[in-house]
Amino acid sequence: MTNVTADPAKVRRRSQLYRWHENHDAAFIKRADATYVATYGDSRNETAAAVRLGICDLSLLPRQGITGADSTGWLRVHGYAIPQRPNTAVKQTENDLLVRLSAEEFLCLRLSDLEDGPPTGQPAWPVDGDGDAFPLPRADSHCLFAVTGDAAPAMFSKVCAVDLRSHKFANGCVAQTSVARINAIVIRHDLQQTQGFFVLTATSAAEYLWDCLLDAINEYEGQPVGIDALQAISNTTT
Amino acid sequence: MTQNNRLPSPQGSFIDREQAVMFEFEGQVFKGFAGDTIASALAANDVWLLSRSFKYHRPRGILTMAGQDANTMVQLPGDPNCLADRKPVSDGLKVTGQNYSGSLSRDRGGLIGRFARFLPVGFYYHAFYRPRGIWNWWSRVFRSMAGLGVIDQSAVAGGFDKQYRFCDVLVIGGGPVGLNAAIRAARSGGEVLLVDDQPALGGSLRYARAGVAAGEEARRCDQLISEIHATPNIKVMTGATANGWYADNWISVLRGKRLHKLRAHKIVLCPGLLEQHALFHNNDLPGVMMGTAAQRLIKLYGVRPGKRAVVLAGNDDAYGVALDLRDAGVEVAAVVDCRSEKTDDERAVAVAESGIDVLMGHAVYAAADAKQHLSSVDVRRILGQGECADHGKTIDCDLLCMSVGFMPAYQLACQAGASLNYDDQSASFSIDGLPDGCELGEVGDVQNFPWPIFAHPGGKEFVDFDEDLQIKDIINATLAGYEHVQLVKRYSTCGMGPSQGRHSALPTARLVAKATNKTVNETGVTTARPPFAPETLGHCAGRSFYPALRTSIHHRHIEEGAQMLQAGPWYRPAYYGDDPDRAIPAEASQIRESVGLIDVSTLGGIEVRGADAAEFLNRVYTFAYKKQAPGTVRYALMTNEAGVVIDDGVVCRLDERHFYVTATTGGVDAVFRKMLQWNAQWRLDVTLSNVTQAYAGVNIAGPKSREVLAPLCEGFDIDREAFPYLGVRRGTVAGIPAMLLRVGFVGELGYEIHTPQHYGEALWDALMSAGSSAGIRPVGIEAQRLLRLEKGHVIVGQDTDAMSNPMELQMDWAIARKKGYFVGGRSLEVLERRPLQRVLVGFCVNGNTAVPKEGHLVIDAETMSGRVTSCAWSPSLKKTIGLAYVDAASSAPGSAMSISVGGGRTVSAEVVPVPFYDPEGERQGL
Repeated sequence: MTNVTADPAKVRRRSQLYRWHENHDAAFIKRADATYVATYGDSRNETAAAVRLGICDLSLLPRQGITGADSTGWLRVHGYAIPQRPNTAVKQTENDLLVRLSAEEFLCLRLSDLEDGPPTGQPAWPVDGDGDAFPLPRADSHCLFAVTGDAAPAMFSKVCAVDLRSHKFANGCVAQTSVARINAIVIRHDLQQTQGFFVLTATSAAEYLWDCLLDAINEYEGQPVGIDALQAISNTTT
Repeated sequence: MTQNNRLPSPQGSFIDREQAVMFEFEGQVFKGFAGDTIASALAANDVWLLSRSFKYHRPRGILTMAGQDANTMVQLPGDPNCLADRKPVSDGLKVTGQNYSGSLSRDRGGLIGRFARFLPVGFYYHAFYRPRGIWNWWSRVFRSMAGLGVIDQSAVAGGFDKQYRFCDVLVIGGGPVGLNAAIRAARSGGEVLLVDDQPALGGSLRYARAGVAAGEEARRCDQLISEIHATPNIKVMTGATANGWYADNWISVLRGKRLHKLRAHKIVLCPGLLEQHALFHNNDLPGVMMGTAAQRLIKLYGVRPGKRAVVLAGNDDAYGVALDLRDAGVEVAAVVDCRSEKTDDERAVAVAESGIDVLMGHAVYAAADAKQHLSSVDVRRILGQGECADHGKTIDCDLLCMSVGFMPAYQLACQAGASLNYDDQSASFSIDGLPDGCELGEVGDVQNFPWPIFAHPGGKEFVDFDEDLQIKDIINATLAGYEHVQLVKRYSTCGMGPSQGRHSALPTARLVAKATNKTVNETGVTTARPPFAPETLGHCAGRSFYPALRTSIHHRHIEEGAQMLQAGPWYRPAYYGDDPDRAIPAEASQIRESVGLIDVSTLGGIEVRGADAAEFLNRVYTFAYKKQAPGTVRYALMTNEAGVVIDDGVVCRLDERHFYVTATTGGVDAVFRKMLQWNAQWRLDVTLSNVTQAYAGVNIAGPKSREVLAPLCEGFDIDREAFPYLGVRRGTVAGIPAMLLRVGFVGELGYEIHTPQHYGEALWDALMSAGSSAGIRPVGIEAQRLLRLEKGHVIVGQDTDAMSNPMELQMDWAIARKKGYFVGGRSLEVLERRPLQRVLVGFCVNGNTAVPKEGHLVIDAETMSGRVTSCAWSPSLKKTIGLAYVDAASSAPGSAMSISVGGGRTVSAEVVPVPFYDPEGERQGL
C-alpha cells in the first residue's frame, strides 16, 4: 500500500485528469516528477473492480518512443527483446513493455515504475545525433489509460470496431485504431490472471476519452481504480 | 375484460399465464399475460380494431401477427407508430390508436373514403398547384390529415447506444432452416451467432403445421433448440432484427435500444418466408388476416383468432391452417381453394374427412363488414386469370385466413447484391448472385397460387395496405406512362410505407407485368434497400462521439474566466471576461504595452530528422533551408502543386540533421500527410514525426516579456545579442524542459515556449507567477488575431482561399527561386508570367463608420471586385484596419476602396501599406 501524500498541482508534470481525480476523492502518490492516483478511497473495492472492469489513468507513466531506419539496431544493441512483427508487444526482463508500432517505430512503456521501489524515470533512449535512431516524445504526446478486467472486451465493443475479445486479440497484440472516434493505440497486456489493455490517445483528448470510457463502463459496473489496485492484481498469482 | 378468446395450454408458447399484465387501450383497461404483444392481448379480449389506415382512415387490424405490416401501428406515450403485434404488453402501459379524428371506432376521417374516386394516385401532382404558392397551404392540410402517430417532443427516449459484435458465421433467421444451418456451421468449429427477430427460436416450427399430427413441429423445435443451446460455439440473439446488409458483411442488428454493428466472415441468410395476401374487395377488414397470423395467435399466444372462419387457399399449407383452427375450437365454414384440382396432401384429406366444406376453383371475391369487422365473404368460381363468376355464395364468418402463397424474405440477400427471380410458369422464386462469404439457407419448395388478384367494380382491393393503394392505382400509374416498376413505385408511393413492399411488391409486379405485357420476372420488384424494418432515430443517433481536444492549460483559462471557442476539435480561449468589446482591445493593449501570455499549444509541430532533412524542407516549402544556421528560425510557406498557399509556419533548425517545424492548428494533419507522401516518393534520408500533441506552447509577448522570463531561464543566454530575433534555444524555464523560439507573430518582443505537454500547466503557472509584478495577463486568440492583423500577417484559411498564391498575398519574398525544385515551384513560375488578377491589400476605413466584416464585398463601379478577409478596430492605431482582396489595378497604396457592409450601405476605405503597425519591425527585434 502506498504512502499517500502528494498534491498533483504542486508537481510539474500533471495529468490532464488530475482535477477529475481530485473531485473524486483520489489520494495521490508522487513518483519522480509526477503523481498517480493511488486510490479513490477503497483499495479493496477497487481491486475487485479491476478484476471485473477498471480504468486507471497512467498518463504520467514514463515511456519513450524511438523511430528511424536504425531503431531496430539501436534497440538490439541495447539489449531489448524486439517484437518480430509490427502491432505486437514483448515484455522485457525489467518488466517494461516494448511495443512495435511499425517496421521502424517502437514504444517502450516503463511498467516497472508501477512497482513498489524507487522510480526509474524515463528510459535512457537515444538522443539526436545517435545515428538513424531518433527519440519520440511519447511520454507527452499521448495520455495512457489501463483498462482491466473480464468485461473489458465487451466494454471496448461499445467504443471500438476492433474485436478485442481474448481469443481474438491475444496478450501482446496491438491495434492502432479508433476508440470513440479518436485515434488510439490499444495494447493487450494482462496483469497476471487479469485481462488488461493499455490505451494511448492524444494527450489533449485525455478528458474526452476518459469521459467516453466512464460512460461505457457503467453498463458493466466498472469503475476508475488507482494504481494500488493495479499493483494488487499484478501481484496476484494462482 | 375477460380474455374470452384465450385458449388453454399448451397453446401460447410465448405467454406466461402466471404473470398477469394490466394495460390500457383507448382508455379501457385490459388484462393480458407476460409475453403477450399488445395485439395478441387485445385479440384475447376480442378487440380487433387497432388502427386507421394512412389515406382513407379505414379500420385495420391484425394482418401478419409478425410485425411485417403497418396495420397494427399504435401510439404509446413518447413512442408513435409502434407495431402492436411486436410490442410486448407491460403493466400500466397506455396504448391508443392513431391517425383518427374523434375516436378510433368512430373516426370522422373515415369520411374521406367516400371521396376516394376523386383522390387517385398522384392527385396532388395534378391539382393544388394553382394559383402559384397555394401548395404551401394545401400541404399543411394534407399532412395533418395523413399523419400517423404523434411525436411527443417532451418525451425522453433515453439510453440508445451502439455496439460492435463479431463472429465467424452469422446465421440470420431462427426458423428450422436457420437452426439447422447454425448447427452445421458450428460443427466446423467457428464462432456462430444466430440472430432471430422473434422472442424465441423456432420460427415456423412454433406455429405452422406441416402434417396432420399436431405437435410434430413443436417436438422438432425443442430438439433443435436443445442442440443449439448444447453447442458451446453458438451464441443466440433473439428479439434482434438483422436490418441491413452493408459492404464486407457488415450487418446492422437492432435489439431493444441498441444498434449492433455486426461483422461476420460468413453469413447464412435464413430469414424465412413472407406470406402474401390475396386481392379482393375489402381485403383489409379486421378479421382478414394471413393464415400464419391465425396460427401465430393460436400457438404462440393462445388466442382464438375468430369464431367462424373461411380459409382462402392457394397452397397445401392452407389445410394446415384449417386443421389448426378446428383444433382451436373455431368453426371452419369452408376452405375456398383457388386451385382447380384437389391436392392429395394429407392435411387436405384430413380436412375433407372432418366434414369441412372445400370449394375447389373458387376465390373470395369480396368481403363485407359489420361493426368494422369482417361479417361475411362472397365466394365465387374462378373463370380465368383474375376473373370470377357473376354470382357466388355468401358465407358468414368473422375470420378469413389467406393462405395463397409466400415470397422469400429477399431483402438482405438483394442488399448484398443478389437478384430475385420469379418463374412465371411455376409461380416460384429463386435467389442467386450472392457475393462470396454470403449464402442462402436451404429452402424447400414453396407453393404459390399464381394470380390471387380479383378486381372488383367497387375497388378497395388493396395492393399496399400502408398507402391504401388499390388495383386501379397501380394500373393507372402504368397508364400515366410510368411503366417501369421503379417509376410505378415513385408515382404511386407503392412500397414506400413502413412495410417497405413486403406484401405489395409481388402483386404490384404482377399487375405491372400484365398491364405492360411483360412477365413478372421481366418486371421484377423494386430495389430493397436498408432498413428491412423501421428503425428509430434513436438507433441511428444512439451514442455518438464528438472528439474534443483541450490543451494542458485549458482549466487555467476557465479559472481565469475565459470564453472558450471551438476551433475544429480544439477548445481555445477567445478572450477573458464577459465583454468582448472591452476584453479584446484590453488584451491587445496588454501585449503592446506590457506583457501577456497566450496559449499556443494547438499549433502543429513536426520533427524532420536525417541527413536529407534540409533538402526535404527545401522541396516542401517555398523558402530555402539548406544554409539555415542551427539555432535559427525561418518563416515557412507551403504551396501545393498548383502553387496555391496551403499552410505556413516556421522552421527551427536545432542541429544539422534536426528541424522542428510548426504548422497551423487546422492544417498540421494535412501537412504531415503530404510530407509523408512526398517523403515516400522522394526516398530521401528523412524521418518525420508529428509531435503536435507532445508539446504545449505559450507565447509570452510584450516589451516586458524578457524581464519576466529572464530569471526563470537556465541553459541558455536570453540577452538580446545572445538570443536574437528569429533564434531558437533549448534549456529550462522554471526548471521545466523547454524550447524557446523568438518569433514575432504579434509584432512585439516575444518568446514562443514549447514544453512537453504534461508540463504545460506548470509552465503557465510559473510564468504567471513570475510576471505578476510586471502585471502579466492571459490573452486570448481574438486579441492575438487583432495583433497579427496590425502586423499584416495572413492567417492561412482566413486570408487565403483555394486559389491564393504567394504573389497575390504579396509574399513572393518568401519564395527562394534559385534553390531548385520545390512543390508548386513550376506553377509559380507560370503564374508569375501572368498579370495578377487580384491582390490581398491592407486597408484603413475612412472615418468612424461601420466596421466591415469578414466576407463583405469590395465594390468597384457596382461590380464585385474583391472581399474583406480580416477587419477590426485597432486600439493601437485608433482606426479600423483590414485585409481584402482587390482588383490588381486598384491595389496601389492610396487607392480608394468601397466596401458593401450590408443593408445597402457602403463604407469608403483606402489601400495602405502593410504592416499597419511598426513597419520596420523594431519592436519584435528588441
